[in-house]
Amino acid sequence: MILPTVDFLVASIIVALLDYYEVTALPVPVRKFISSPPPDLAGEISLVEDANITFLDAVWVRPAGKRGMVLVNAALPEADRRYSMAREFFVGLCHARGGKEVGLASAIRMTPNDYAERFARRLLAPKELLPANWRNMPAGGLAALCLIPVTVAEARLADSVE
Amino acid sequence: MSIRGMNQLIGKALISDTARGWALNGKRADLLQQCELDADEVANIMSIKAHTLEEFSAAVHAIYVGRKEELSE
Repeated sequence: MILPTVDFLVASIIVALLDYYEVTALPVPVRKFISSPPPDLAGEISLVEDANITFLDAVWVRPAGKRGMVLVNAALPEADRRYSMAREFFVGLCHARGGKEVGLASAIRMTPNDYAERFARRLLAPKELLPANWRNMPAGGLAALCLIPVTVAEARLADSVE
Repeated sequence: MSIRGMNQLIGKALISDTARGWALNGKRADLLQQCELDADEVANIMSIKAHTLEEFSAAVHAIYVGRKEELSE
């Protein structure tokens, strides 16, 4: 069966979230996206930031019979925390009803597994909100503008054209 | 502008139960009105025959790819 590409679906999620929350400036309020998701996602995604979560940076989990949650290590620096929660937010979206029905979960299974990282980079540094010459920016400048780690900004600058 | 409109459409379907329902039933036109689409794109999307959201999003993606190629020419 023909599936939509993950790139198309990722771009669609980002457009929908930026529109829904009327985001017009950086940094993208990713914490708000997860802690106060659109109503139909509220039963499936939530956010827990806890300094006791030290075994990893972040993870999406869904205990049986409960809503899914993004658990984030609150001891991380803010930029790392934002990136980690955005990445796990994507995992949650793949498991959400909408993600399954529209084909995101199926498309992910057919493609390489770095899409959560790519989604996080594109969500936190969306081309819609970046300056026209953003690809010529130094990684440090992009990181400061978007409140993301420098290593993530470097990867964003290396992303293929969307 | 219209490429963004198709992203809007599928993005809404991803985050909204209502949008997913409307995409497959008689309210598709109402859903498309909420997106920045050209008239011919509306016509193409209205003509999609899909039984599932996955089929619908794949068909919209095909229109998206064609439109993107047109714009790059």
